[in-house]
Amino acid sequence: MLALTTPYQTIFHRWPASLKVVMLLTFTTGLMLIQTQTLLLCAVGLPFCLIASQGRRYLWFSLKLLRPLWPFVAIILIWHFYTADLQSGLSIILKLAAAFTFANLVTTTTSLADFSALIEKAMAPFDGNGAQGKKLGLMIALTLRFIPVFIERASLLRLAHRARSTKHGTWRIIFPLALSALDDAEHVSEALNARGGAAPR
Amino acid sequence: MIGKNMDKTVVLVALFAAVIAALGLIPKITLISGVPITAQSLGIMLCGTILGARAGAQAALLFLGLTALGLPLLAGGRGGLAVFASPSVGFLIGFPIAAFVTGWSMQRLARLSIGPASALAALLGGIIALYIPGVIGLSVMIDKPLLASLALVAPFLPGDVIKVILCAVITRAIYSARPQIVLAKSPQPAPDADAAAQAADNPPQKDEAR
Repeated sequence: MLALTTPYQTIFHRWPASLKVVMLLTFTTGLMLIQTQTLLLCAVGLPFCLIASQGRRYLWFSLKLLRPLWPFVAIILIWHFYTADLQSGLSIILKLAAAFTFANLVTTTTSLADFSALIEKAMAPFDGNGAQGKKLGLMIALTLRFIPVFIERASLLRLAHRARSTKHGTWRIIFPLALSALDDAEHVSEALNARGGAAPR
Repeated sequence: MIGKNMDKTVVLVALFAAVIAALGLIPKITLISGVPITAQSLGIMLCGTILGARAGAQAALLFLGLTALGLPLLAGGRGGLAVFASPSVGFLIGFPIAAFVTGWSMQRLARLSIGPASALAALLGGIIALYIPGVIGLSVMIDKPLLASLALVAPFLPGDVIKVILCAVITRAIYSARPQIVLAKSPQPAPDADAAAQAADNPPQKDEAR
């Protein structure tokens, strides 16, 4: 299993996780409320400018993370081309890319340990001995890790299916996809158990 | 053994939250009412039929929590607190409720075979229990009477029926290949080795033959 944090050092690594999460929250909420074109373009540019300020290699690394969005960009474009509403299609794509990139900025520069610590801190007032907070932090970290793994697995299976079949019924990959994800979960839980388990006994 | 089962539940809850998120990448179709059709409710149904009431609702809650944190996990790349101010807020609040009701029904329907049981459970949880908060939320947000709101979301129903069928087919396939994973089917899981041995003794379906 891979980690999503970037190998390139950036200034954002030194920012506290809480600050980054609050920024992300503000940004995505603001993005949804934007109505005017100019404001939208400025907002969409923001995460890309932040990333570009940290060097070309980090920019390239972040742009590559957008790759899973391409098929959906294509579908949205086709859809809005047919409904003759290309402009709102474009604004959906821009918002999607910007929110995705900003979220990636936070994810790639914040270690899962920092994320878990943040959640534990936020939950501390509601949690006697801290066991629930630890468990929740772990679950959040695992989910964030599973999402890209799952998407990557789906695209690999789709390629494998396309290479071997003349039909387009790619919904068939859903069965191997589900089973391989469940097997991953099994391996992860065994690994977790071998390292002392999710919570104190 | 309790610790081991708990680790597994923790990991499966995280996995299913991720599955709901990944299903959101299938593009949404938005109706005039502003509520999108998404594949995500299929994920919610699967949470219930496979994880059961408690863990299924936990997975849906975890997914909502991550969305609220600002991650663009909802269909169409939506996320952040803004979505909780949108017309579909009732459906979001309905996600954990729907997963819980699906899982609860699944456990009550243990006497039926896995396919019909999961179809019925998904219908009760993923449609009925999801639409009640959903329609109420819509009617509050767009300031229309309940019946009008219901009419606005009615065009989703055929899609949801397809999702119910898909959910049953997928649950059945998973159950026949990895019976020990369908937590909803065994409310008091036996120690893993026993469950696996039992499953090996009576393979529940003949799908492997195909």
